[in-house]
Amino acid sequence: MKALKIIGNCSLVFLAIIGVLVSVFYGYYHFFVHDITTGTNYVDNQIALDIVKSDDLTEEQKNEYEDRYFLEANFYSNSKENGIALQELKLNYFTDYTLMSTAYRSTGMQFLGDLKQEDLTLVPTTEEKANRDEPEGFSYYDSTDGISFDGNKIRTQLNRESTFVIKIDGRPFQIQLDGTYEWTTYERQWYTLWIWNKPINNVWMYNYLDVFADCMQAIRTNSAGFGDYYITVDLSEYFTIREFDKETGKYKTDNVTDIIKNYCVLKFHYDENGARNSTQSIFNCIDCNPSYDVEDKNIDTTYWQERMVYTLTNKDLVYRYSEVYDGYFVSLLMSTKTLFENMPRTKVNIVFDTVFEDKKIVGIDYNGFENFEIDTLTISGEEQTFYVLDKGLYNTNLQVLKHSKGITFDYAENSINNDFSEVVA
Amino acid sequence: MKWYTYIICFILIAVGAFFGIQLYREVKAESYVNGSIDISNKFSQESFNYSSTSLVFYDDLYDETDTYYFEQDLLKVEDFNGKNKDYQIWLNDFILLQSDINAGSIYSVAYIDFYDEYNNLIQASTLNISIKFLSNKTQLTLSTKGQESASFLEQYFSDNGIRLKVIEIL
Repeated sequence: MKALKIIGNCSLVFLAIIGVLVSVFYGYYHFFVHDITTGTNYVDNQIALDIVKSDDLTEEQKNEYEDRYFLEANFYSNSKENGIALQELKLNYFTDYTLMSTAYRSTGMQFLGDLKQEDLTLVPTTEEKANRDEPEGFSYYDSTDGISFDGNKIRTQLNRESTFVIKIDGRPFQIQLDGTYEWTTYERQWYTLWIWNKPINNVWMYNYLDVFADCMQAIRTNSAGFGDYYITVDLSEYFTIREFDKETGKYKTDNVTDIIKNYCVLKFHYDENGARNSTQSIFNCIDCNPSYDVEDKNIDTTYWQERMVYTLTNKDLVYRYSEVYDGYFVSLLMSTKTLFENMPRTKVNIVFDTVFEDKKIVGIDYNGFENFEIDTLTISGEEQTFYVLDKGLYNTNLQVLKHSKGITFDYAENSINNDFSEVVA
Repeated sequence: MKWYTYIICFILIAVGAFFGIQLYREVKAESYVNGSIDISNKFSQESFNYSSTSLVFYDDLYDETDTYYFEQDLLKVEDFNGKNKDYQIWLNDFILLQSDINAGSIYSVAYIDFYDEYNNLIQASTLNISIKFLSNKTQLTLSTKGQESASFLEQYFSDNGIRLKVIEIL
């Protein structure tokens, strides 16, 4: 019995010594070997891997897909009181670990008004309710391509049970809002004659309302003020991030959130104005209404086509002197013609005087405006004959020729090949 | 052994077990990403480039000229010098020829005609463009006269988006 006791005591002391050694080793490893500040997760642009690598996409298409940070916000403060206050937060993420554009998704929440952090109250709730419920008073939207959105119930839920896949350093990670806020309150106990206060531990389970209000506060207090900017936000209080292990096909279980902070880029638009219509929303909808407008009566803006109107003048023309006619003939540079060839849907007018910088203009040169579509040609000047040489206005589809009363035209046989109306001003 | 020796041993074993678990977690933690986030290029831009899927004009209540404005503060442009360099201004696929380019600002005008399905002109809009390159930001102002003009331009930009670029001619 005594021997057994000695063995027991020795074992206990041995385990205690091991305990001390482990504690010392942990202290050494934690403070001298393992630099916890080097392991930092950065949540950057959520551009899909196939978009990054794709050679088929144009630069414009790449730009369209590129600016997709995990968090995007839109904040119309209505400081000028010319619309409504509008706050929006959008999460850009993936639905699976492939991180391809086909797995891309966006989900967002919208608040009509100016929600402030001080408006939030910590209301006791059950764990099940906290995990399942979405914040009330918001409109929610979903998109599979990040461009077209739909609202209402059939969409991804923004609650504590939702897990999203995001890209960090080109690898898939799982992110979940599961953070809590704990605080202690004290209750006086009558049975200690109110001398001792019993500590009561309170737990608040963060939801997307907290994230939303924090992001809006970050925007409201950004140093650049109104405009389109980017800031970084620390989400480690709210979210847990786990890495995906491709070998096992599962997310790694080691919870490193407590020793790794996660910083994230928040891209935002902060406006002094109020929102006026649904096109200003990042979901193209306000209050789940794609036609939302604060104006009661809208102007009918239905149109078939538009034309960008250009007016070329004397300084856009080139001049060639003719001794035979004792004056200058005008034409257009080939570079000007080529420029307009590459711009569809233009309407070009040409307006010039017959005297420009001491040059007397007597007509339009051979092939001067050929193959260049002109809507209205306006020539003003004193009494004179104005010559249009061979193919001067050929293939121009001229619609209107306006000229001063004293100008008479002398057209070469092949100078123009379409009918036009003539206006004498 | 004394009774308190047992308590001390048990405490040391418990502490050792706790730190042992912590040590295991830290040693086994694999989910590290080393590197730094880089958004430094997001605070300025090399050349002016503004794009959006739509825009909305606002009427200034204190302005009696019936002018509607779209104003936007943008990132500062690093290297604009209208005094010594030549630039082209592009609005969507159109070059704006009537542009007044100064040392630190650009003023330009775009004329856009709108036609109905019978090819009748229903609206001729003039869009004034002002870009001011300031030391800490760029101020973009688009303006037009009249609510009808503003509405048609809003519709046009909603249909086509807006891409406004200032390109240096080398």
